[in-house]
Amino acid sequence: MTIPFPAPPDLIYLDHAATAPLCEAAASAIRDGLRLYGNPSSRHDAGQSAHDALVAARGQVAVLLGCAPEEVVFTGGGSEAINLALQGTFAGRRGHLVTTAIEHSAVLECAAALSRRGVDVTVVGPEPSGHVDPARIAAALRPDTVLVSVMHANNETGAVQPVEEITGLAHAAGALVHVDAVQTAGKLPVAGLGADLVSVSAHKFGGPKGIGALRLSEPHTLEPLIHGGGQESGRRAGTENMLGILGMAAAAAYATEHLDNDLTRAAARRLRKRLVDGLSVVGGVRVNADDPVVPETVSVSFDGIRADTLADVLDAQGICVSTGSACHAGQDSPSHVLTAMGVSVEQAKATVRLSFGHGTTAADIDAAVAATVAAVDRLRRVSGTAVSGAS
Amino acid sequence: MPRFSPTVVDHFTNPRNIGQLASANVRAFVGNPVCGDQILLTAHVSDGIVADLRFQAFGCSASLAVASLLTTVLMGESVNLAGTLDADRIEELTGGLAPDQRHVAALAADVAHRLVANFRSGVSDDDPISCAS
Repeated sequence: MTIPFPAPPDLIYLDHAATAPLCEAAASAIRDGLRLYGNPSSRHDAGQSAHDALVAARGQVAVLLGCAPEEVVFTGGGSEAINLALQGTFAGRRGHLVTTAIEHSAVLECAAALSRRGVDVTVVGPEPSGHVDPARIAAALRPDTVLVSVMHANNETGAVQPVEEITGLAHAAGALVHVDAVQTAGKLPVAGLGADLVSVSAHKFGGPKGIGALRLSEPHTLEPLIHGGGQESGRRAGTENMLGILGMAAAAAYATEHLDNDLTRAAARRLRKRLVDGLSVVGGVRVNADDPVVPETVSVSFDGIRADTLADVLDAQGICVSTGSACHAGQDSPSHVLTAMGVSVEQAKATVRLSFGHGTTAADIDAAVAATVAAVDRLRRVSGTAVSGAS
Repeated sequence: MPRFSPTVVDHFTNPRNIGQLASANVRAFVGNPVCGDQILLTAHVSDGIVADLRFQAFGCSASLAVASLLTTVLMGESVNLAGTLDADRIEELTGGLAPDQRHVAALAADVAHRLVANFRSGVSDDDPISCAS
């Protein structure tokens, strides 16, 4: 079996919100790590070499997360980090959880599981802009609220949530806060988040899949999901996924370098504008979130088309986009995020997500725009759908 | 493994015979209420021969492809050919469909059968297509 690496150069990859290509620094760290076969828990030299690399990697991830290295718990990905945060917090107790209707299914399914165990769950809806109003979170808080879980930016729309304000409100009410920063780590600064728990996933910012981390701020403790040999200071058992951790750390270091770069952020905003302006010429176009947004993620609806068909047409031309979130791909049900925002089922099914990232060029955006405009126009002609406003 | 055969990709990226025929003397519409796929055929049949044929479709890419493919198969042929096409034959013509795409072959067969039935009974005002899914 031959696995192409890197991706074919003629591919225009606009699905970074699903997963980002492995960055060269991460690939290099993983290659180097292949020689590091010792178990970090072993006392011999081979083990100590692995242990030293683990310590260094934890430090690099801690810089990205803005915490002490001891507060980083490596997990098997973002979903596990989220499960550890929620289930670990509520282990052995009930109480009240507040979350939002636009969370990733990892949070919502976790909340549903907790509800079945007797935890009271309040799910707060978003505004039509795609943002959660902190006042609605405040109204949901109760004396027995244990935890508020809210995402930093939505994976489908890119809408950046007012997590700092929500964190302040929750803390004032005596509740802990978990922020799902899977979509922002590596794009926006997450080091300053005042939350007690922060979940991230390596493959969203150029690291490998199957590795993530939970920032577990002192003095909060939680019950591990996986019991065993006491790794991760007893918070997540199992011999460490060294290749994943080394790759994640290298990607974190790379991302950290670029986080505070105004040029990088300005370039992302310019690419977003180029994309949205370019798509708008076809008419009947709606962008599904207002500012503030992560510029790299664009949720856009085209009246009169089916998003899955448009995605297939673009895929046939080497342009990778997503219908809603990747987790919904192949499902007929409309996006829970869009419908929670009040978007009609018809519009939700006409929505694609284009998400760019490091390495995406203006030429890539222009080519994707041209192909999308042509495809939307053709699909409308195929269905006989006239759309007003097309230029 | 590609999700679509080259024939299916060819037809949904470059659909043939798009539109509605102004001179149509027979129309056929089918819609799948579950998946929302819809196909409308408009044809001008002269002396039993499909002299001209257009399609409109709203649905998944495979359903667009089979509708386009169907027009290329029927164009210039006896309208009776439409009555002989079944889902297996249409799937064969596509070069193969994945299990989750096979419903479109049945949809194409349904609209082909409806075309010949409407021709024989003189129906020329079958339902128009709507893009609402």
